[in-house]
Amino acid sequence: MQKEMAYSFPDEVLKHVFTFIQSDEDRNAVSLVCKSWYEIERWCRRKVFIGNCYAVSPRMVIRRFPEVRSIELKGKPHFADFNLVPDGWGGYVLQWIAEMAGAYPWLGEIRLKRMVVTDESLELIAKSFKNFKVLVLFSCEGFSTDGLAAIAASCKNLRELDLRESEVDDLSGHWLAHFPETCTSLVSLNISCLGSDEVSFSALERLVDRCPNLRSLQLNRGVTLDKIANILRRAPQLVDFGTGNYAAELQPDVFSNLAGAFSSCKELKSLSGFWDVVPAYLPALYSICPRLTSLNLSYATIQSPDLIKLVSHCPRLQRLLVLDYVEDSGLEELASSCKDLQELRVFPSDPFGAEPNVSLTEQGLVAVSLGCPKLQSVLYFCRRMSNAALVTIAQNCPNLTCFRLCIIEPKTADYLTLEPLDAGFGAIVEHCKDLRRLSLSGLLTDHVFEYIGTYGKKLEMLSVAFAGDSDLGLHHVLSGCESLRKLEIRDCPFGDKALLANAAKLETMRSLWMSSCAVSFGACKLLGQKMPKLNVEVIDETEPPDSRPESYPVDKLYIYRSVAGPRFDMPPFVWSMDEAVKILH
Amino acid sequence: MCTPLEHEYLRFAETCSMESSEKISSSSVESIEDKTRKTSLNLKRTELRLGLPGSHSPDSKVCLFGEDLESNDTSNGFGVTPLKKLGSGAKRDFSYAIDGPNEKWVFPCDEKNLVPPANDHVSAPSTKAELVGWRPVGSFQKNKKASNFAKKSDETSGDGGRLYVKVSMDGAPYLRNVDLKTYNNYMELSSALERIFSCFTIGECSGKGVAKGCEYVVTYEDKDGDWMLVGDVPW
Repeated sequence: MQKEMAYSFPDEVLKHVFTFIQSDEDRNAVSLVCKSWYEIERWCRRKVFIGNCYAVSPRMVIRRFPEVRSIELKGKPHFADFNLVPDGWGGYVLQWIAEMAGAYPWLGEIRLKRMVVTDESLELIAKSFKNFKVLVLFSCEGFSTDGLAAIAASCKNLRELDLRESEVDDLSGHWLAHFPETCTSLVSLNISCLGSDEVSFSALERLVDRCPNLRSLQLNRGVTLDKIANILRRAPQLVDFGTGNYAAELQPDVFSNLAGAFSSCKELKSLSGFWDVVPAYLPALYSICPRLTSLNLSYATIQSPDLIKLVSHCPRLQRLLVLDYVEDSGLEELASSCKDLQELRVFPSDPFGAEPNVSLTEQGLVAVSLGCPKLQSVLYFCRRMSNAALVTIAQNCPNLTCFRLCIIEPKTADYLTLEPLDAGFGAIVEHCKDLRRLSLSGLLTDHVFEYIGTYGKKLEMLSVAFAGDSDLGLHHVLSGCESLRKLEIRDCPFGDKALLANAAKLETMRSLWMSSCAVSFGACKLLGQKMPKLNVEVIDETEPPDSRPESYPVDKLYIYRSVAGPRFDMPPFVWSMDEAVKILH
Repeated sequence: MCTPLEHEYLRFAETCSMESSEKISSSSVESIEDKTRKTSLNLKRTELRLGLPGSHSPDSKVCLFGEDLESNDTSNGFGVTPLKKLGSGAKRDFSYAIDGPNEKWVFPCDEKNLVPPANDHVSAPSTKAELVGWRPVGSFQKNKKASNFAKKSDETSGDGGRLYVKVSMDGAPYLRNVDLKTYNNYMELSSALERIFSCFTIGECSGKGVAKGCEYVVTYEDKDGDWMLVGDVPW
């Protein structure tokens, strides 16, 4: 009797229970329990995340999950950020939108990263989804302000419009005026990518005025400093604010107006923007600095003394993005003032200069590692490093989850011992047991990969450039890193052997990128033939890979697992190694 | 029967006579595996083995961290070992994807192919004048790169682009990079330069900067390579 009851929950009850299960991993586990749970679960899954838009087709997603309300898609590989993926490679969202327009009339949220979004796609979104609420276009391209106008005009209950880091064809600043007077629902608006061209400021003011729930606003560079006070006074409830241009001739009334406006924002915790900073205006921020948890100064060309002053006012800072103008002295101040720091990113102000233009070395990072026990995420550009420093950092920060170091000159050795930096990075992976993301640089041999393979058991993403001696390096990583999902490699002497010997591993990963390595065309073909669940794509803009001997190395290789088979939108310079696809096209 | 060591490698033998007429597909893998187990194949000579540089003898095993592979083998022998947890736990229907990270694939090839391709095919990127995508500063920083080359400074938009200029002071150990757009006139520029280089100066520099009574004057190198005195050309 009691046994029977356990199996007799009505579907509605199970469905209700499942709504409390949010994470994709848990949902996937639920759907594996039995067929009926699979069925119930798939009908009530509302949110889908697709890390590679080519891993599955829209039709397959729709077939399995008929009632999705929120979708997130990623397109191009990460190295596209560094111009390694030629234009026209792919990542088009239009087909997804077109299919979802028919299947998901209640779709409310679309989040895209590194995808090509045309005005046509935006117009389709605008007219297909009546309950559309959230559009996030992170590092996307292909659209103009005309497409944005369509979204603004049609989406009556739009909550979020976030265009961070996207490339937009700025045809007219008047698209903002297309938000109807009845639109009062905005919570988040990020137009920081729109550059220096003017956005209709009066339209922006009116929009901010009528949206009392606006919490996050990032202006673009075209908005001048004197206008900030106007905006802030209309939105004192802001939590996250991005200034536009932060430069103007110092005038006392402008300054006091600005300082007053900032101080009226009692909820403000996060600041960004700060193009063209005039340091004299920084004290206008002092009233809110004690509450600040996140500060993005990566566009701010302010020098170390001004940065030190600012940072010393922000004891609660958890996240800091800054240029290397901060210098070692600034980072030392950071280490002593900001004990809650979790994330630090230091960008190069002059990455292509032959000599250092600032006094920023490994010492700055060591100081932060010592002073900030909660440090979890690091992105650091510098010009010199030592194994000793890396070992110290590793020992000071065992909780690091993300460590990305970029020593600007490739193959730079330990400046003290002139040895490779294998031991230093080895210490990082050994001590930081929860490390999920790692980027290597400097002079590195196969040994560093041995360490990574041995200790990097939780490593999910690894970026490698100008490192290693032989296939053994790649073999260590592919055979040792159990949690590896994304591997991206450039300019390393890795060839066929390790790749072929670990072919099965590639099916457990999202993707592998290799460019300027030594993988032969023949090996790519073999992999493509033997592994039907992998899409093996060769990218070559100069000539077809089969016009050369099979032993010739390919220029760029992108391998990803897919249940959708080879894609149909490849440009002429991308060749699929799938047996079913003709090589010549 | 294959020895346990040989059995670490699942061979797709294109040279295997049993398979030559079969296409390899996931559904037929199991049967191939059975067949290769049963036949006494001696494909060692054509096996591609991984080894530390210099150790290419046919009997060498791959050594990782000083331990040889056999001790890392949890199970092999002849049976299909239980799947270790992989990624999202999806089941795999390839039985050759057996043992997770310790699985060894071998694609047989002629010994001639063990020789890596001629090095002249592989270009030496470090000799290239400009590496694509290095430094990896990302699209986030695209504005900065563009302005470093002063591409946008010609545009009509008000504060578009930035104008980075290297400033060197004789005797200073390193140069400074300065964005001319942040200054509105020569006075601001000279006081900023004064400030930036103050750690190196021992002489007096009046607040008037370039104007009078200062030991140092600001000069710049124009596009013809000539040294010009700052102040002649309007800001």
